[in-house]
Parts: sequence; structure tokens; C-alpha cells
Amino acid sequence: MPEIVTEILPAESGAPRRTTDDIVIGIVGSGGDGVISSGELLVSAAAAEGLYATILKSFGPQIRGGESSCRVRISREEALSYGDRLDVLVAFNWADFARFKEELALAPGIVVLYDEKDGTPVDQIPVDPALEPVVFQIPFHDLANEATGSSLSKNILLLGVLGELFDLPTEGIAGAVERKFARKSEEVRAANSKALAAGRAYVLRELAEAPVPLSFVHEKGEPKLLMTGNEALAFGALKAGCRLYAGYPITPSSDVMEWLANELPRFGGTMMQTEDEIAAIGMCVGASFGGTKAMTSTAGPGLSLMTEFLGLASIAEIPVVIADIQRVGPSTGIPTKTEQCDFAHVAHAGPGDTPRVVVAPYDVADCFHMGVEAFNIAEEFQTPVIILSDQYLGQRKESVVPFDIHGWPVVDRLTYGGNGAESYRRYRLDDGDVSPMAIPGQAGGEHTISGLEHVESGDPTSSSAVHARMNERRHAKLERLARERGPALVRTFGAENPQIGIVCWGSTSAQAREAARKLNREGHSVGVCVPQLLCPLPVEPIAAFLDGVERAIWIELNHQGQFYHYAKARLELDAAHGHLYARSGGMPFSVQEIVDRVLALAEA
Amino acid sequence: MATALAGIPRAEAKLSAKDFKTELKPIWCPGCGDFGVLAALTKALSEVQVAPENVAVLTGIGCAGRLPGYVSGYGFNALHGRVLPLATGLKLTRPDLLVFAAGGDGDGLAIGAGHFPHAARRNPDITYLMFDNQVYGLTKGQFSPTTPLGDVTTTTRFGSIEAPVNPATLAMAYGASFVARAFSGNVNHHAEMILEAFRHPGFAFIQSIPPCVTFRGNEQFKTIRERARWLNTDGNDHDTSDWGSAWEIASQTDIYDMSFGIIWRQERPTYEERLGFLREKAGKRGPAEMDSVLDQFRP
Repeated sequence: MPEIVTEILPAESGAPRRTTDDIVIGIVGSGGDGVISSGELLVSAAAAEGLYATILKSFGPQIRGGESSCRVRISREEALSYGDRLDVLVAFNWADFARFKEELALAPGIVVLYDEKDGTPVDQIPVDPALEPVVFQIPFHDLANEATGSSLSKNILLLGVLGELFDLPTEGIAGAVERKFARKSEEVRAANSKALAAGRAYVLRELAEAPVPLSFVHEKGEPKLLMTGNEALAFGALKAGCRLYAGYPITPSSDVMEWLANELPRFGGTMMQTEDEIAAIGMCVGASFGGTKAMTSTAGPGLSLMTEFLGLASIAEIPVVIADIQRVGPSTGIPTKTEQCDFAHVAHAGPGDTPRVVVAPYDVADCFHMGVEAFNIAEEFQTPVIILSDQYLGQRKESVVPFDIHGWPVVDRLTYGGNGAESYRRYRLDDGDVSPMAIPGQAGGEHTISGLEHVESGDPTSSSAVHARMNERRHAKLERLARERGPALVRTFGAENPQIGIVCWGSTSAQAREAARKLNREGHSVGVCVPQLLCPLPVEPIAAFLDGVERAIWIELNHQGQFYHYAKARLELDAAHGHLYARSGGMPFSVQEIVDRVLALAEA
Repeated sequence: MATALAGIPRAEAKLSAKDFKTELKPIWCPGCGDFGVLAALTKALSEVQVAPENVAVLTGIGCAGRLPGYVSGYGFNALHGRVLPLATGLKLTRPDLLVFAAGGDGDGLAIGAGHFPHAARRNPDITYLMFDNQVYGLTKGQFSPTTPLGDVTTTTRFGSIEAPVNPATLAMAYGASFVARAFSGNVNHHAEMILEAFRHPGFAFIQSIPPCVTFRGNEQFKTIRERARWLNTDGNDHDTSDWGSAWEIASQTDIYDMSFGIIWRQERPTYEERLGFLREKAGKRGPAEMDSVLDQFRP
């Protein structure tokens, strides 16, 4: 990995300019300002240029309209997190900024652009003067009106300004705008070109001598893909062979459903929007009983309704995949904000000794991989598999290095081969922990299954001895899974043979990896252990990581340290390897927050 | 319009009702009305001559829940109240199966009541038979959503103070495209009702009255048999496409003053048919290839 370039170059105007290959831009405005659209165009331009980019969107509580903001990070190196602090802030009006102030931390020397129309004098803007902001009032509204006859194009005009002012890839931006509006009328496209040009011209004309302290440097590379975690997850499911999705709309998981509603039908599949989450998972279990791979996705409140079917799928040994895009809980919590707070539920949900598998993707690309892997595990082990994603991972759009979609192995369940000499037994103990599954339509395989404890044939029993034996069989799968797949489903990042270890899971690994990258550049030795398989816990590979470090800290975004306590019950953790940093969600961790914790641990 | 049963494989050898029974001995009480429903179901299956491996009998929980174990073919005795989502999910993905869903009045009208309207309006090509014995039998005699007002049960010692619901009018109001009423004391007629439900393309609902001899008394069989009216026999003419008279028949709630037969029948596209149209439209998005899906993510 190349070092971040941070050197002072003399600008043509004479003022010193700091070059960077990693820039974080925040844009805030009201509904209709096109804030989100601007941000999306910036990441689209960056991805087309081969840069890494990520966008995090934030909305006010209004369903439509109201204030919105987005945070765009563009970098030459992999942009692991959303970027702690803004280098550039664009405010179409300051009233909207006030609502996002808590979420938008500003970097010292921040460049602030705001619309002249807002009217706030430069010395009264709500930005801490101690940061020594470089502030420009720009007549976005009036310039857009002049150039195109409508102020609606001011978000496109903004892109022209940003591109020229910070040396962002201006051709890439023009290309992104052209692509986005390719199907619109000639008139709209011409207006966009004019707005872009007007933005650039304004900078060249009015700000040529201005002291702009930041210049983005980059080289063009191979284009990257752009997707959200939820899209990647849904795509992974499609790739795995999922042909029935049933779900009930819920924030922040609905985009999984909307994406599959578009894609499944042409593959002969079905997306069904059900009456509730119970029906959603019920449809999936019904379809899977019939041999069709099926998935549902939800968030905390929906997951609680799915618990009864989770138990049924476990005892009846039916493959099914449930994605939980976590949001702040308990109960309805904060629907639009992220938290890793459902682990305890998915790890233990359901009465009885209910086996289940839990996997957690750690970035957007991994959402695709875990989408495939969840199905592979469900099919091979004939059991429900839960994918734990979250709002921060599911709804952020991120550049993804193009990958080979054909290269992923897809596993199908073991099915009954035909009419054997003896009658078919769905849960034959001699088969080990899974038996071939006869699918309706297969002659000779007829049988009845249920949520009742059963003998080998599937017929109900009240025998405690049989119950114990069947429990052993259902849990033997989990032991085999941890043994066979565990090592490949624990990832490590950062320094080789690190002294300090971070253990985290899911979306938090983004900031943890970036913190480790930063610390290692400063001479520390930090490694990050990210289990993708959470239940059953891959004890051996995690223990091996911990054995190799002097101290370890467990980091997760929930109040209780849910995963930590689960792992602690299964690993031998001494005090040096058992440090915990857990806090409630809402806002994801910042990189600095993790850096501080690790430094405190290193110096302790 | 699709014809129901058209895509479902038939048995090669001639099968009798007995061939559709398993060897498992039912757990039902001696004299239970459920035996008559089982006999009617296996008779109807033998008349269709469907291949047993293409039969799927799905149930909720309750006395009726044990039905799948007694019928040849594939069975799933699932969760309380959840048979309709399960059956719908199976049928949509496996149109080659004859999907028969069943459950009690508590299963379908108490815990599972939220699924009934949606299955009815979607109109998947399945049969849903409700064992309406007006009591919770498996849990030993508590009142159910169809127990008449004032009846004494183990949880209403002083008489039920809740007004009952009516499965047949609910089914009509929810948009079920086929509604029939059957009595397990008349196996031939009951089998005919199931057969008509099988033949109906779409969601076919049968309100079956299988007396609970243990908790509702021994005399129900005899009294119903004496007083039952049979639609479209003995001059009991009824136009099954006439909403008004269908509603009037459906509105009967007294099991001793009831008409049995097909109450309402309407032909309209099934969910599976509409799904076919949707897939055709969606096909215009592009070929069913992963590379074509991937393209949408290129900037």
C-alpha cells in the first residue's frame, strides 16, 4: 500500500496547497436540493476513474422532503470507513446543517462552501472558528438560474465547482452526469452540461486567486463496481440460486426486497411481499420444503416475529436464509440508524436447544460473499442460517473491486437418490448429522415432517431417549461446521505477528481495519481478527489469533458487548486478551475512537 | 384460465382411497369427526388419481394438525396458525404439486387469522380446509373463535361472553374464489366438496364440520345429519355465482340449521398465472444471466 501523500505544493496562484489522495466531502441541504444525487454522482465518477469511494446518506425523520445529508469519501487507497472528519463541507443552507451537526465532525482547516442565498454572514456561520475554516460564499442558486433557467440544477453546478476547486476528476464527473441522465431528454442533458460548465467557469473566474488549501491527486485506474451492502447481499443470494424471496417492508432492509423484486422474476423466481414477517419466513420454509432455495430479510422488530419458524426450520432440518439488517433497538429503536445489537437474539433465539448458524459480512463486497456462503451452509447442513448485516453496512454505497461472479462455488443440498430397498427415513441416524432430503415429487421418498420431536422416519415421538439422540444429531452439524468451515471464515488483517489484537465483527471491522492501518504506519503493531462465522463460534482460529498477540481488545457497537460475552463463554480469555470496548449505536465508531482505545491499551 | 390439476402428474397404477392412507394409527378420540374428513380426503385423492409423491398435505397445530401423517404423500405438520404461508410458498415454487392445507378453527381464525385474508385475495391454486368443530380439542376443551355465545367450556365455565366469527362469510369477504361447506358425517358429499375444491383453479376454502364427540357431545352427528340441507339436491337449487344468495347461505352459523355444498365459486386468474405474466414483463430487463445483473453495478 502506498503512503498517503501529504506534502505542501506551491499552487499556481501562489497560495500553499496541501495535496491529498483521500478526501471527505459532506453535503447538506433540504429536500429538492439534490444533495444525495450530487454525492452519488461523485462516487460514480470516482469509481469510473478507478478510485475507491464510499457514500453514507442521512435523512431527517420526514418520509419525503425535509433535510438530508451525505458524506462522500474518495481515496486512492481502499476507503475502509466513511472518514472521521470532513475536509470539505457544502451547505445549501445552515438551518439544515444544524440538524446533522452531531454526525458531521469537521477537520481543522476545513473548506466550507455555502450558498450566498442563505444570507448568513461569513463570520456568523455555525463552524467553530478554532478550526480555522476556509470559507467561500458561492451563489449556487443564482448561478444555476442564470445558466439553465432553473435553480434545480444547482446540485450539478456544485459538482462543477467541486471538481475545479479541488482538482477532482472533472471528466469523470461529466461522464457520471451524462450516464445518469442518458435516458432523459436532450434538453435536460444540455442543461446539465451548462450547469457543470458554469460551476467550473465560476471557479476559474472568481476563485483563481483564492487560497484553496486542498488539491486531490490521483491517477486513472481500472473502473470499480459500485453497490450497497444490501444490493450485494441480494445479488449473492441470487447467485447462490435463491429463487423465492418473501419479506415484509422494514427499514433498513427493504432495499434487499426491492432489488430482488426486480431481478428474481426474469430468473423464474418470485418475490413476495407478505402480510407480516411470520408469513415471510413461512413462505420461505414452505418453498424450501419443496426444494427451492429461499430467503427473507428483515431488521430487529421483524426478526422477533420470525423466531417461531426459526425453531421449526431447525428441528425439521430445512435450509433457509434470514438476513437481519440491524438497526438501533430494542423494539422499534431508531429505524434509520445502525447498531450491532441483535447478536444476542440471533445467537439464542427460540425455545428449546435450537441449532442455528450466524454469519456476518464485514464489508460491501463481503455481503455478496456471505450471501452465497449463507446458502451454501444452509444447504449443506440443512439448517437455518442468519446473515447479520446492519444499516451502516447495508445502506452505504461503496466501490468494489470487480470480482469473478462465476468463481464462487454454489452448494446444493443432498437429495434422495431414488427408490431404495428399504423405506426412506428423513432423519436416519446412520447418515450422520444430515440425511438426503427427499423433495415432494420424488417417488419413494414420501414422508411427513413436523415441529414435533420425531423418530428417524419423521413420525412424532414422545421418547426422551430419541429426543436426546436427535438433539445430538442436530448439534453435531454445528460442531462439524465450525471444524470444517471455521478456519476459512475467520479473517485477519493488519500487521503480521501483531502485538496488539482487535477482535470485531461485521461493519465495525471497517473502522477497526483503518485504525490498524493508521497505527501500523505510525510504528505500532496491530492486527484485526474478524470472524465471519459467529455461531457456531470458530474457537480454534480465534484462539490462535489471540495466542499470537500480547493484548487484545474486543470492539462492538452495542451496549452490552453481546458477542464478547458469547465468545468469552467459549474461549479461555485472560485479562490481557479480554478488554472490551462496547458502546451503543446510532453513530458507527469513528476510526479515531478505535485508535484511542488501542493506544490506551498499548500504553497501559 | 388455467385448469387446476392440469400440471399435476397422475398415478400410473389405479389407486383406491385405501392406497392414500398410511399405516399410522390416528391419535384422534374414538368417534371423532376428523376420521370422516380423512376418509373424504383419501377418497377425493383416489378420484383425482394424483401420483402420491405429488401430494403435499400441510397443517397447523391442533387435532387436525396430525392429518399429514395419515395420508400418503409428503406431509408437513407445521406451526400453529401458519399453514397458509407455508402452503403458498410451496405451491408458488412447485406448481406440479397438489397442495392441501388444513387446520382447525382456532388455528385459522385465532392465532392464524392474519394469514387467511391474504391467502384468499392472492388466490394461489391450493385447497384450504378448516376443521371447524367450535372447540380447542387438543388442549382439552377451551372455547374457540367459533364457539357459540353462551357455551360452557373449560375456560368459559359461566358461558362464553364472546361473539363467534363465521368462517364462510369471512372467506367470501376476503375474496376466496371458492367457498364450500361440508359435514364429516357424510363422507361421500364431503369427498365431493374436496374434489370440487381440487378442480377449482385458485384458492378453495372448505368449512368442514367434524363434530368433537369428546368436548361438544355425542349427539352432534345425529342431529346435524337429521337437519342438514344439501345444496343443489332435493330441489335445494343454489346459483354458486350469485353473491347475494351465497352470502345468505354463508351467513348460517347454527350447525343444526345449515346448508352444505358449494356456496360460492368465481373464476379469476390464480396467483401463479399472474406471476407468469409478471415474469414475462420482467424478462424485458435482460437475459437471465449473472453477467447482465452485474452490469447494473458498473459506474
